[in-house]
Amino acid sequence: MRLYFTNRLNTLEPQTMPTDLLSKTFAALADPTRRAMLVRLSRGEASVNELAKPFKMSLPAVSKHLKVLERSGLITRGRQAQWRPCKLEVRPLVQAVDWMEGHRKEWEQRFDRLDAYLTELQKKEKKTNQKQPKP
Amino acid sequence: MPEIQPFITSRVFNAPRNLVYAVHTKPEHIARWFGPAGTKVLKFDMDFRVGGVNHYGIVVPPDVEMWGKQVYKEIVPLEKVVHVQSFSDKDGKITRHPMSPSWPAEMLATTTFTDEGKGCKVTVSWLPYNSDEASIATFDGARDSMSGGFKGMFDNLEAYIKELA
Repeated sequence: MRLYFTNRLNTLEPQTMPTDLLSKTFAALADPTRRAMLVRLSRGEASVNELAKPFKMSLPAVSKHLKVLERSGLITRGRQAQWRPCKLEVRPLVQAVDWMEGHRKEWEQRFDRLDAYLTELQKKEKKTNQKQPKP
Repeated sequence: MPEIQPFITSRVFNAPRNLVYAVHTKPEHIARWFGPAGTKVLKFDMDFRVGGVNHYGIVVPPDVEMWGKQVYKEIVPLEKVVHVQSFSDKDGKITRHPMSPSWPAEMLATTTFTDEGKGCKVTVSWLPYNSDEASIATFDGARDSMSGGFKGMFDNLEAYIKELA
């Protein structure tokens, strides 16, 4: 992760802002293998070998995926030197769901207002048409 | 938790497509429904063309002033509008969401219009947006995979998230 100064963060300039964690979460979630790994981890901690089992994939390839997940904050690795179990971190997922659902609600409400507005517009149009003298 | 279809929502409106498209793309119409009920418009400077910007300011009830920016990325008349949505200040400088500063600063929203019987179906999808090329490619490529593949994962994780959240 990039380092940044607190005072820079406060100015909220996109050019100096670090890539936000949520975007990293989505990028990490975009891959089906990584999603499958997270589902496995939702049942409990697992080693790299255990996670690799269901996939026809080399261990280095699996490690690459795990690194992406780790950088995005979706998993953490244990500190034991030999068996570094992977653990699902739920906070980024909750934030991702919040973000998606927040926007969904916003759009649903917007659609309600649009529906009412369209009805109103079409009523007006009808009235205007009726007022016109018949040929 | 309702069934999650992330990033996408749609609605069928009982109005012809040209009207539905017009109320999405003409400033005098958009200002009437885009913001919450009771919204007062301070500025709505809509330059509707590819690369054009809509810098707007609204006051939403009870009395919250909000500024935002839309940059139009793609326009297919009567079919599709793609824009980048962000919060901004009065001068048009991009800022974070005032209530959720950890959210992505910018969002890519795609709106499509299709005929549905005598009405028009509007579909909106949204993704976090970073202006660097790599992220754009990632999200463009990932959109379908995300929409299709997410549901299963969230179904599986739902209970787990609830437990820990």
